[in-house]
Amino acid sequence: MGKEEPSLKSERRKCYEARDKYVECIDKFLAQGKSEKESEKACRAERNNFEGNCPTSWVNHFIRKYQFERYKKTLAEQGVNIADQNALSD
Amino acid sequence: MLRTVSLVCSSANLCKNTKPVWSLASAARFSDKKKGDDLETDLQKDLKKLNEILKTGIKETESLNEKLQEATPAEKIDKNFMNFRKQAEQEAFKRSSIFNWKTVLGTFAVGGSCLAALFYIKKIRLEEREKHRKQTAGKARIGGEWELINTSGKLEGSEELRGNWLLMYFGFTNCPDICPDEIEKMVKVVEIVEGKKNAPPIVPVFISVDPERDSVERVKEYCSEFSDKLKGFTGSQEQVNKVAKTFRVYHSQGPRTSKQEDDYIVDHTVIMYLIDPDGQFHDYYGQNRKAEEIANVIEMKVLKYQAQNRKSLLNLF
Repeated sequence: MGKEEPSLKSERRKCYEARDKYVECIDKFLAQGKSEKESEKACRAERNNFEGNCPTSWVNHFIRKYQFERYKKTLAEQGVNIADQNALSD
Repeated sequence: MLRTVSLVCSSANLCKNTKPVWSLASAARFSDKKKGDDLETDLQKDLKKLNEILKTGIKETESLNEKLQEATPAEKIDKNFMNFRKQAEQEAFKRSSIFNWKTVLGTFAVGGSCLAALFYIKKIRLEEREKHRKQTAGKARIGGEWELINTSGKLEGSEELRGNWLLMYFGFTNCPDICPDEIEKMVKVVEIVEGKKNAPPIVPVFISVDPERDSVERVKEYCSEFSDKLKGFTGSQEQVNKVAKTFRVYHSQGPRTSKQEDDYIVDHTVIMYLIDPDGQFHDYYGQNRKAEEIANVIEMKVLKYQAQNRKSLLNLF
Protein backbone atom coordinates (compact mmCIF):
# COMPACT_ATOMS: atom_id res chain seq x y z
CA MET A 1 0.00 0.00 0.00
CA GLY A 2 2.94 2.31 0.80
CA LYS A 3 2.73 5.98 1.42
CA GLU A 4 -0.26 6.56 -0.81
CA GLU A 5 -2.55 4.74 1.56
CA PRO A 6 -1.67 5.56 5.14
CA SER A 7 -4.14 3.11 6.59
CA LEU A 8 -1.92 2.41 9.52
CA LYS A 9 -1.65 4.75 12.42
CA SER A 10 2.12 5.03 12.00
CA GLU A 11 1.70 6.19 8.42
CA ARG A 12 -0.80 8.78 9.48
CA ARG A 13 1.56 9.97 12.16
CA LYS A 14 4.38 10.20 9.62
CA CYS A 15 2.19 12.36 7.43
CA TYR A 16 1.19 14.57 10.35
CA GLU A 17 4.81 15.04 11.33
CA ALA A 18 5.77 16.07 7.80
CA ARG A 19 2.79 18.45 7.71
CA ASP A 20 3.69 19.99 11.06
CA LYS A 21 7.27 20.55 9.90
CA TYR A 22 6.06 22.28 6.76
CA VAL A 23 3.56 24.46 8.63
CA GLU A 24 6.19 25.35 11.19
CA CYS A 25 8.56 26.40 8.40
CA ILE A 26 5.96 28.58 6.68
CA ASP A 27 5.00 30.17 10.00
CA LYS A 28 8.63 30.93 10.74
CA PHE A 29 9.20 32.76 7.45
CA LEU A 30 5.89 34.56 7.62
CA ALA A 31 6.78 35.74 11.10
CA GLN A 32 10.00 37.16 9.67
CA GLY A 33 7.80 39.35 7.49
CA LYS A 34 8.23 37.41 4.28
CA SER A 35 5.39 37.00 1.81
CA GLU A 36 3.51 33.76 1.28
CA LYS A 37 5.27 32.95 -1.99
CA GLU A 38 8.68 33.68 -0.50
CA SER A 39 7.90 31.47 2.43
CA GLU A 40 6.74 28.63 0.21
CA LYS A 41 9.92 28.90 -1.82
CA ALA A 42 12.02 28.85 1.31
CA CYS A 43 10.21 25.71 2.54
CA ARG A 44 10.65 23.69 -0.65
CA ALA A 45 12.34 20.79 1.13
CA GLU A 46 9.65 20.59 3.80
CA ARG A 47 6.98 20.70 1.12
CA ASN A 48 8.58 17.78 -0.73
CA ASN A 49 8.78 15.81 2.50
CA PHE A 50 5.16 16.64 3.22
CA GLU A 51 4.01 15.48 -0.23
CA GLY A 52 6.19 12.41 0.02
CA ASN A 53 4.55 11.26 3.24
CA CYS A 54 0.92 12.14 2.52
CA PRO A 55 -1.51 11.46 -0.31
CA THR A 56 -2.02 14.46 -2.58
CA SER A 57 -5.60 14.88 -1.49
CA TRP A 58 -4.41 15.09 2.11
CA VAL A 59 -1.79 17.69 1.25
CA ASN A 60 -4.43 19.83 -0.42
CA HIS A 61 -6.76 19.34 2.49
CA PHE A 62 -4.16 20.28 5.10
CA ILE A 63 -2.96 23.32 3.19
CA ARG A 64 -6.49 24.57 2.73
CA LYS A 65 -7.15 24.01 6.38
CA TYR A 66 -3.94 25.77 7.36
CA GLN A 67 -4.77 28.73 5.17
CA PHE A 68 -8.25 28.94 6.61
CA GLU A 69 -6.87 28.91 10.15
CA ARG A 70 -4.48 31.70 9.23
CA TYR A 71 -7.28 33.67 7.61
CA LYS A 72 -9.32 33.36 10.81
CA LYS A 73 -6.31 34.53 12.77
CA THR A 74 -5.80 37.64 10.64
CA LEU A 75 -9.51 38.39 10.91
CA ALA A 76 -9.27 38.12 14.69
CA GLU A 77 -6.29 40.47 14.62
CA GLN A 78 -8.38 42.92 12.63
CA GLY A 79 -10.98 42.76 15.40
CA VAL A 80 -13.58 40.64 13.65
CA ASN A 81 -15.68 38.59 16.04
CA ILE A 82 -15.04 35.02 14.93
CA ALA A 83 -17.73 33.72 17.26
CA ASP A 84 -20.20 35.54 15.01
CA GLN A 85 -21.24 32.85 12.57
CA ASN A 86 -22.05 35.36 9.85
CA ALA A 87 -18.51 36.73 9.82
CA LEU A 88 -17.16 33.38 8.63
CA SER A 89 -19.95 32.14 6.45
CA ASP A 90 -18.68 30.82 3.16
CA MET B 1 -71.31 -40.70 103.76
CA LEU B 2 -69.20 -42.69 106.18
CA ARG B 3 -70.81 -40.90 109.04
CA THR B 4 -74.32 -41.69 107.89
CA VAL B 5 -73.44 -45.34 107.37
CA SER B 6 -72.10 -45.58 110.90
CA LEU B 7 -75.20 -43.85 112.18
CA VAL B 8 -77.46 -46.31 110.43
CA CYS B 9 -75.36 -49.14 111.75
CA SER B 10 -75.55 -47.88 115.30
CA SER B 11 -79.33 -47.60 115.04
CA ALA B 12 -79.47 -51.16 113.66
CA ASN B 13 -77.43 -52.37 116.63
CA LEU B 14 -79.86 -50.65 118.87
CA CYS B 15 -82.64 -52.45 117.07
CA LYS B 16 -80.93 -55.80 117.55
CA ASN B 17 -80.36 -54.99 121.17
CA THR B 18 -83.98 -54.08 121.71
CA LYS B 19 -85.32 -57.47 120.71
CA PRO B 20 -83.57 -59.48 123.47
CA VAL B 21 -84.40 -56.68 125.89
CA TRP B 22 -88.03 -56.94 124.87
CA SER B 23 -88.12 -60.83 125.05
CA LEU B 24 -86.46 -60.73 128.45
CA ALA B 25 -89.12 -58.27 129.60
CA SER B 26 -91.99 -60.56 128.42
CA ALA B 27 -90.43 -63.58 130.14
CA ALA B 28 -90.16 -61.59 133.37
CA ARG B 29 -93.83 -60.62 133.07
CA PHE B 30 -94.82 -64.32 133.28
CA SER B 31 -92.66 -64.97 136.34
CA ASP B 32 -93.44 -61.92 138.47
CA LYS B 33 -96.57 -59.74 138.01
CA LYS B 34 -95.64 -56.90 140.42
CA LYS B 35 -92.16 -56.64 139.13
CA GLY B 36 -93.67 -57.00 135.70
CA ASP B 37 -95.67 -53.76 136.02
CA ASP B 38 -92.55 -51.77 136.86
CA LEU B 39 -90.71 -53.49 134.16
CA GLU B 40 -93.53 -52.80 131.72
CA THR B 41 -93.34 -49.04 132.32
CA ASP B 42 -89.55 -49.11 132.11
CA LEU B 43 -89.70 -51.07 128.90
CA GLN B 44 -92.27 -48.72 127.44
CA LYS B 45 -90.04 -45.79 128.28
CA ASP B 46 -87.07 -47.51 126.70
CA LEU B 47 -89.10 -48.35 123.60
CA LYS B 48 -90.23 -44.76 123.28
CA LYS B 49 -86.64 -43.60 123.58
CA LEU B 50 -85.52 -46.14 121.06
CA ASN B 51 -88.27 -45.19 118.63
CA GLU B 52 -87.35 -41.55 118.99
CA ILE B 53 -83.68 -42.30 118.40
CA LEU B 54 -84.62 -44.41 115.39
CA LYS B 55 -86.88 -41.71 114.01
CA THR B 56 -84.26 -39.01 114.36
CA GLY B 57 -81.65 -41.37 112.88
CA ILE B 58 -83.85 -42.12 109.90
CA LYS B 59 -84.66 -38.46 109.50
CA GLU B 60 -81.00 -37.61 109.65
CA THR B 61 -80.08 -40.17 107.04
CA GLU B 62 -83.00 -39.08 104.87
CA SER B 63 -82.02 -35.45 105.07
CA LEU B 64 -78.39 -36.38 104.43
CA ASN B 65 -79.43 -38.44 101.43
CA GLU B 66 -81.51 -35.56 100.19
CA LYS B 67 -78.57 -33.25 100.64
CA LEU B 68 -76.34 -35.70 98.76
CA GLN B 69 -78.81 -35.98 95.93
CA GLU B 70 -79.04 -32.25 95.73
CA ALA B 71 -75.29 -31.94 95.77
CA THR B 72 -74.52 -34.43 92.97
CA PRO B 73 -75.76 -32.35 89.97
CA ALA B 74 -73.90 -29.33 91.31
CA GLU B 75 -70.80 -31.44 91.65
CA LYS B 76 -71.09 -32.52 87.98
CA ILE B 77 -71.05 -28.87 86.80
CA ASP B 78 -68.21 -28.21 89.20
CA LYS B 79 -66.10 -30.88 87.51
CA ASN B 80 -66.23 -29.11 84.19
CA PHE B 81 -66.14 -25.69 85.70
CA MET B 82 -63.03 -26.36 87.67
CA ASN B 83 -61.11 -27.73 84.65
CA PHE B 84 -58.95 -24.67 84.15
CA ARG B 85 -56.86 -26.08 81.31
CA LYS B 86 -59.87 -26.85 79.17
CA GLN B 87 -61.41 -23.53 80.07
CA ALA B 88 -58.27 -21.66 79.11
CA GLU B 89 -58.15 -23.58 75.86
CA GLN B 90 -61.71 -22.70 75.08
CA GLU B 91 -61.13 -19.06 75.81
CA ALA B 92 -57.97 -19.03 73.73
CA PHE B 93 -59.88 -20.60 70.89
CA LYS B 94 -62.60 -17.99 71.18
CA ARG B 95 -60.02 -15.22 71.28
CA SER B 96 -58.01 -16.65 68.38
CA SER B 97 -61.05 -17.06 66.18
CA ILE B 98 -62.04 -13.47 66.82
CA PHE B 99 -58.50 -12.31 66.17
CA ASN B 100 -58.32 -14.21 62.85
CA TRP B 101 -61.56 -12.79 61.69
CA LYS B 102 -60.36 -9.30 62.53
CA THR B 103 -57.06 -9.90 60.80
CA VAL B 104 -58.75 -11.06 57.63
CA LEU B 105 -60.94 -7.97 57.61
CA GLY B 106 -57.97 -5.75 58.37
CA THR B 107 -55.86 -7.35 55.65
CA PHE B 108 -58.59 -6.84 53.10
CA ALA B 109 -59.06 -3.24 54.17
CA VAL B 110 -55.35 -2.35 54.10
CA GLY B 111 -54.61 -4.36 50.96
CA GLY B 112 -57.60 -2.91 49.19
CA SER B 113 -56.66 0.66 50.00
CA CYS B 114 -53.05 -0.04 48.95
CA LEU B 115 -54.22 -1.44 45.62
CA ALA B 116 -56.49 1.52 45.13
CA ALA B 117 -53.58 3.86 45.86
CA LEU B 118 -51.36 1.98 43.41
CA PHE B 119 -53.95 2.15 40.67
CA TYR B 120 -54.38 5.83 41.33
CA ILE B 121 -50.61 6.45 41.13
CA LYS B 122 -50.45 4.41 37.94
CA LYS B 123 -53.21 6.47 36.42
CA ILE B 124 -51.43 9.70 37.33
CA ARG B 125 -48.18 8.41 35.91
CA LEU B 126 -49.79 7.36 32.67
CA GLU B 127 -51.39 10.76 32.34
CA GLU B 128 -48.06 12.43 33.05
CA ARG B 129 -46.31 10.31 30.49
CA GLU B 130 -48.97 11.03 27.93
CA LYS B 131 -48.53 14.71 28.65
CA HIS B 132 -44.76 14.39 28.35
CA ARG B 133 -45.12 12.47 25.10
CA LYS B 134 -47.28 15.21 23.70
CA GLN B 135 -44.73 17.79 24.77
CA THR B 136 -41.86 15.96 23.11
CA ALA B 137 -43.82 15.28 19.97
CA GLY B 138 -41.86 15.76 16.83
CA LYS B 139 -38.96 13.52 17.76
CA ALA B 140 -36.13 13.65 15.23
CA ARG B 141 -36.69 11.11 12.51
CA ILE B 142 -33.10 9.94 12.59
CA GLY B 143 -32.01 6.36 12.53
CA GLY B 144 -33.90 3.16 12.08
CA GLU B 145 -33.30 -0.29 10.69
CA TRP B 146 -30.07 -0.78 8.82
CA GLU B 147 -27.88 -3.59 7.58
CA LEU B 148 -24.30 -3.58 6.30
CA ILE B 149 -21.32 -5.89 6.01
CA ASN B 150 -19.23 -6.23 9.15
CA THR B 151 -15.49 -6.82 9.37
CA SER B 152 -16.06 -10.59 9.16
CA GLY B 153 -17.73 -10.10 5.78
CA LYS B 154 -21.15 -10.99 7.15
CA LEU B 155 -24.40 -9.09 7.11
CA GLU B 156 -25.03 -7.36 10.41
CA GLY B 157 -27.13 -4.44 11.45
CA SER B 158 -29.50 -2.80 13.87
CA GLU B 159 -31.31 -6.10 14.52
CA GLU B 160 -28.15 -7.87 15.71
CA LEU B 161 -26.97 -4.90 17.75
CA ARG B 162 -30.29 -4.36 19.51
CA GLY B 163 -30.02 -4.37 23.29
CA ASN B 164 -26.77 -2.41 23.22
CA TRP B 165 -26.07 1.26 23.53
CA LEU B 166 -24.36 2.30 20.31
CA LEU B 167 -22.17 5.23 19.42
CA MET B 168 -22.17 5.54 15.65
CA TYR B 169 -19.78 7.49 13.51
CA PHE B 170 -19.78 7.81 9.75
CA GLY B 171 -16.44 8.31 8.01
CA PHE B 172 -13.93 6.81 5.65
CA THR B 173 -10.61 5.13 6.16
CA ASN B 174 -8.72 7.58 3.89
CA CYS B 175 -9.88 10.42 6.06
CA PRO B 176 -6.95 12.76 6.73
CA ASP B 177 -7.53 14.05 10.22
CA ILE B 178 -11.10 14.53 11.36
CA CYS B 179 -12.18 10.87 11.29
CA PRO B 180 -9.20 9.52 13.25
CA ASP B 181 -9.65 12.26 15.83
CA GLU B 182 -13.37 11.61 16.10
CA ILE B 183 -12.96 7.84 16.31
CA GLU B 184 -10.30 8.25 18.97
CA LYS B 185 -12.67 10.51 20.83
CA MET B 186 -15.48 7.97 20.44
CA VAL B 187 -13.30 5.17 21.85
CA LYS B 188 -12.29 7.45 24.71
CA VAL B 189 -15.94 8.25 25.46
CA VAL B 190 -16.74 4.53 25.55
CA GLU B 191 -13.84 3.91 27.93
CA ILE B 192 -14.84 6.77 30.23
CA VAL B 193 -18.47 5.65 30.37
CA GLU B 194 -17.50 2.04 31.00
CA GLY B 195 -15.30 3.16 33.88
CA LYS B 196 -18.31 4.63 35.62
CA LYS B 197 -20.48 2.82 38.14
CA ASN B 198 -23.63 1.06 36.90
CA ALA B 199 -22.92 2.13 33.35
CA PRO B 200 -23.76 -0.35 30.61
CA PRO B 201 -21.23 -1.13 27.90
CA ILE B 202 -21.40 1.04 24.81
CA VAL B 203 -20.52 -0.36 21.42
CA PRO B 204 -18.64 2.05 19.18
CA VAL B 205 -19.60 1.66 15.53
CA PHE B 206 -17.80 2.96 12.46
CA ILE B 207 -19.69 3.09 9.18
CA SER B 208 -17.86 3.84 5.97
CA VAL B 209 -19.32 6.37 3.58
CA ASP B 210 -16.65 5.51 1.03
CA PRO B 211 -17.49 1.97 -0.09
CA GLU B 212 -15.54 2.45 -3.31
CA ARG B 213 -12.22 2.30 -1.46
CA ASP B 214 -13.20 0.85 1.87
CA SER B 215 -13.17 -2.89 1.50
CA VAL B 216 -14.05 -5.22 4.39
CA GLU B 217 -10.34 -5.92 4.94
CA ARG B 218 -9.43 -2.25 4.93
CA VAL B 219 -12.18 -1.35 7.41
CA LYS B 220 -11.10 -4.25 9.59
CA GLU B 221 -7.48 -3.07 9.61
CA TYR B 222 -8.53 0.52 10.17
CA CYS B 223 -10.84 -0.24 13.09
CA SER B 224 -8.47 -2.62 14.85
CA GLU B 225 -5.98 0.25 15.08
CA PHE B 226 -8.32 2.20 17.31
CA SER B 227 -9.87 -0.42 19.55
CA ASP B 228 -10.90 -4.06 19.60
CA LYS B 229 -14.33 -2.85 20.59
CA LEU B 230 -14.81 -0.72 17.50
CA LYS B 231 -17.16 -2.40 15.04
CA GLY B 232 -16.55 -1.46 11.42
CA PHE B 233 -19.13 -1.62 8.64
CA THR B 234 -19.07 -1.14 4.91
CA GLY B 235 -21.13 -2.36 1.99
CA SER B 236 -22.21 -1.64 -1.52
CA GLN B 237 -22.78 1.94 -2.66
CA GLU B 238 -26.56 1.37 -2.40
CA GLN B 239 -26.37 -0.16 1.09
CA VAL B 240 -24.19 2.67 2.38
CA ASN B 241 -26.34 5.34 0.76
CA LYS B 242 -29.43 3.83 2.33
CA VAL B 243 -27.92 3.79 5.83
CA ALA B 244 -26.52 7.31 5.42
CA LYS B 245 -29.95 8.51 4.37
CA THR B 246 -31.58 6.78 7.35
CA PHE B 247 -29.23 8.70 9.63
CA ARG B 248 -29.41 11.90 7.58
CA VAL B 249 -25.67 11.77 6.98
CA TYR B 250 -24.44 13.87 4.09
CA HIS B 251 -21.48 12.49 2.16
CA SER B 252 -19.95 13.69 -1.06
CA GLN B 253 -16.89 12.50 -2.91
CA GLY B 254 -14.37 15.29 -3.47
CA PRO B 255 -12.41 15.94 -6.67
CA ARG B 256 -9.87 13.30 -7.67
CA THR B 257 -6.31 14.49 -7.78
CA SER B 258 -4.63 14.34 -11.18
CA LYS B 259 -1.83 12.13 -9.93
CA GLN B 260 -3.89 9.29 -8.47
CA GLU B 261 -7.28 8.12 -9.64
CA ASP B 262 -8.42 6.92 -6.25
CA ASP B 263 -7.03 9.81 -4.28
CA TYR B 264 -9.84 11.94 -3.06
CA ILE B 265 -11.42 13.19 0.11
CA VAL B 266 -15.01 12.49 1.09
CA ASP B 267 -16.81 15.39 2.61
CA HIS B 268 -19.31 14.12 5.17
CA THR B 269 -21.31 14.96 8.26
CA VAL B 270 -19.16 14.77 11.35
CA ILE B 271 -21.64 13.65 13.96
CA MET B 272 -21.69 10.89 16.54
CA TYR B 273 -25.04 9.25 17.15
CA LEU B 274 -26.13 7.67 20.39
CA ILE B 275 -28.54 4.79 19.84
CA ASP B 276 -30.41 3.25 22.78
CA PRO B 277 -30.97 -0.50 23.37
CA ASP B 278 -34.34 -0.25 21.60
CA GLY B 279 -32.50 0.75 18.44
CA GLN B 280 -33.85 4.30 18.66
CA PHE B 281 -31.90 7.46 18.02
CA HIS B 282 -31.19 8.96 21.43
CA ASP B 283 -28.73 11.83 21.03
CA TYR B 284 -26.01 13.26 18.79
CA TYR B 285 -22.64 14.88 19.39
CA GLY B 286 -20.81 17.23 17.09
CA GLN B 287 -17.12 17.75 16.53
CA ASN B 288 -16.93 20.57 19.06
CA ARG B 289 -17.86 18.34 22.00
CA LYS B 290 -15.08 16.94 24.17
CA ALA B 291 -14.87 13.26 25.16
CA GLU B 292 -15.45 13.92 28.89
CA GLU B 293 -18.41 16.12 28.09
CA ILE B 294 -20.00 13.48 25.85
CA ALA B 295 -19.33 10.76 28.42
CA ASN B 296 -21.12 12.77 31.10
CA VAL B 297 -24.09 13.41 28.84
CA ILE B 298 -24.29 9.74 27.91
CA GLU B 299 -24.12 8.71 31.57
CA MET B 300 -27.08 10.95 32.33
CA LYS B 301 -29.02 9.71 29.31
CA VAL B 302 -28.39 6.11 30.32
CA LEU B 303 -29.54 6.75 33.90
CA LYS B 304 -32.66 8.48 32.69
CA TYR B 305 -33.40 5.66 30.27
CA GLN B 306 -32.91 3.05 33.00
CA ALA B 307 -35.14 4.98 35.40
CA GLN B 308 -37.88 5.22 32.79
CA ASN B 309 -37.63 1.53 32.04
CA ARG B 310 -37.80 0.73 35.74
CA LYS B 311 -40.88 2.93 36.02
CA SER B 312 -42.61 1.13 33.19
CA LEU B 313 -41.72 -2.19 34.81
CA LEU B 314 -43.30 -0.99 38.06
CA ASN B 315 -46.38 0.11 36.20
CA LEU B 316 -46.93 -3.42 34.98
CA PHE B 317 -47.94 -4.35 38.49
